[in-house]
Amino acid sequence: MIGPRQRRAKRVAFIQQALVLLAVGLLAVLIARNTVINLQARGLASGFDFLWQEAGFKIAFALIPVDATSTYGRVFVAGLLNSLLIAALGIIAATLLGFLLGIARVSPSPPLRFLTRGYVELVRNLPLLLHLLLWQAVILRSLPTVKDAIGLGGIAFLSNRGLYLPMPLLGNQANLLLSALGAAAVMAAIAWILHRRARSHGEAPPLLARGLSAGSLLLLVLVLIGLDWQVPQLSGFDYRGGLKLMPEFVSLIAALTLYNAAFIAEIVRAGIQSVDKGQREAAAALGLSSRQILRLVIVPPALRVIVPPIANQYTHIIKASSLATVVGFPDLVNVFLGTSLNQTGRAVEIVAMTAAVYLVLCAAVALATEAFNRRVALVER
Amino acid sequence: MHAPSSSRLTPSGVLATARAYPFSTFLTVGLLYVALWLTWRIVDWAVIEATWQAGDRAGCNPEGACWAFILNRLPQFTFGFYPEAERWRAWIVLLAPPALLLLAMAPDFKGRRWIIAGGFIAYPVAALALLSGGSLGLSHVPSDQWGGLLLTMIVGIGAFVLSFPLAILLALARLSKLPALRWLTIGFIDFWRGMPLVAVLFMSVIMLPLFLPPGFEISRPGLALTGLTLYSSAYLAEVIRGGLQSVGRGQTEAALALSFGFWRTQTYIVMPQALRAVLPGIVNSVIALFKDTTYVMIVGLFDLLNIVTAALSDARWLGLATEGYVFVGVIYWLFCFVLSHVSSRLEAQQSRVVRQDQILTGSTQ
Repeated sequence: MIGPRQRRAKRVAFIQQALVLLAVGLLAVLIARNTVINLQARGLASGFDFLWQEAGFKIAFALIPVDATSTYGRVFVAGLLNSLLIAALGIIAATLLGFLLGIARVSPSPPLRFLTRGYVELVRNLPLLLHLLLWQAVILRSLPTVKDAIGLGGIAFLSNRGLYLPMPLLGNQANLLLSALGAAAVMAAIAWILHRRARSHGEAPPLLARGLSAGSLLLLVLVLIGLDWQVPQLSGFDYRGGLKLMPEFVSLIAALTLYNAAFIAEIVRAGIQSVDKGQREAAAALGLSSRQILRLVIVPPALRVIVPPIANQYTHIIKASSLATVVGFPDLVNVFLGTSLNQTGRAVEIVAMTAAVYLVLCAAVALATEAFNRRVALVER
Repeated sequence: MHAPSSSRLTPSGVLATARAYPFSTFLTVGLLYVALWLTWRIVDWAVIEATWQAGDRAGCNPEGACWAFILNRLPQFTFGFYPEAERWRAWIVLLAPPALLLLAMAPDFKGRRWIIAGGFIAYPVAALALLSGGSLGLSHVPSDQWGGLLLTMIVGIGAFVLSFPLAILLALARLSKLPALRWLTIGFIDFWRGMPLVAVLFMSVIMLPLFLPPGFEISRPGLALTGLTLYSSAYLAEVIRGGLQSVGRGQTEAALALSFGFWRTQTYIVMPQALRAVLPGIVNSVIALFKDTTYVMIVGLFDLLNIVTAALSDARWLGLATEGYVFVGVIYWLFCFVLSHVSSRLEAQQSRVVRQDQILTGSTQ
């Protein structure tokens, strides 16, 4: 039953919403009109056809072949891949370092706790951009020139022009390599299933599982050794061969990793401390080893506390990868929102595409977190 | 994982622990050594071997820090290219917020409400008028001459003062019963939270001039400030929303029973409780915002970090990046460290108050 009061309230709500939509719509129309006028006044074209036009500039580092004759579309993809590469490496490295630091934050050793606390307090209270510029300065100024590069075991070299790593040559062996990797993956998967089945039945894993996992590991090692590794060689004024990482790239990854690891460390510490002390003591009283306590008693509930804020931090790393622009590494913002926009003047199109990329990436992280949350929430019952 | 109960800091206790955990003891001693060595190296470089007065790089001891560079450039690092004769204006703008804050925090001060309102409404306008001049007999100082710490503070305080009221409105709209308003706000907030600040600043410099009516222009600091304000208002709105949701529904219903309207309920009943509940979160947002002001370098503004970076390429003071960045770092670090302690103390205080409330009312919510 709807009384006259509710009907009136409903009407008011409808009018209010209509007014809001009208106001926002009017603003949008006004902005669109201004934009069109301004674009015409500046003689700028519009449309997405520029994506198939030749860009005419080179990109210093790209995962796909790009040269001066490539189209803007290809430049967009190259920049996007570079951004993703930075974000992925930053996330992996910051997670590893962050977990180590977070566990050290609650270690029984007072000096270790003190030092990691000092690290966290020092690092997270400084702007990320300051970290980046500092690393850039350190790498460019304190590292030796190519001639006196620091050798790392004779296969990798560090100089002020960047980091040189050995890289496998994937020529005629590619098929053999891929099939070996596939076989190793299948063996590892079967071993994992056998392990899980045995554990859920409370039995020891069968000999076959152990054999398979050892076999896959052996295969992996063989592949790694058997690859045609190309070691960087000094020739003339630079190293040839192998993989060359620009100093901008190295300082960017270093800054992203060290900065975000401090935040992840605090998240991990809070997660570990959120597990009641009694749980640990009870597990110890039941005779579980300290490794078992960590794996079976502390980590599962701690993860529930750790994952949502850590996902937030991952979003931060993805967005902060755009700082590459500051040091001149060709990420998406640098090559697309920067150079491509300057050359084509397609402001609206390029801004919209760049915004869409970051929104999609952030939404993907949010969805993944939600899925994970649902999984760990089920385990709780 | 657990040390035996004898691991007190007595000689016998320490020895017993060392015997029980040889690896851990080795690690501890090694780490202590590293910590002491690091401290010694830093003190040696920054204090003992440091040079405080010199005309150029060559006059500095190469073994230690060359603080003469910082001292020489200090006026520039503080005010940018603001004319020397007019710097008293910058001093007023820089010192007004802490003075207002101290006044507002004084216990039993009657005019607190007016101070806060004045701080949020009158201060930005007055500061802008005072800095740029051009009226009241003050000479005009174009905004491209503002720089250094002054610009950092303008951008930081400006973005906070502008984004705070916006964030309150966004948070209220985000929780509104009207679906159209709610979904528009969700879209707005998620858009800004999903954008990197680098891209936001690029966009504000490129897109905002296009959005404005022809012939209407905003200076570069104004454009950057707009971008930063929109960006931080989205984060702040989410913090305030958390506070609004923590206020019990009974409060609103009681206000309704007293025939309070929507705005009166929000102003006198809900907001004071909500903002107090998320004060630590707001302080954390201020810390993030202050660190984010460094990004204005991307659109060519000379904030503290950028002006120091630019000074590093001065031919008379080459190779002093460490000194320059340490100087900037100390300023940011002190500000953020102090604020983060304020934030965690507020949090501790609040959890204590909540616990007392629970004891008094017997609730275990």
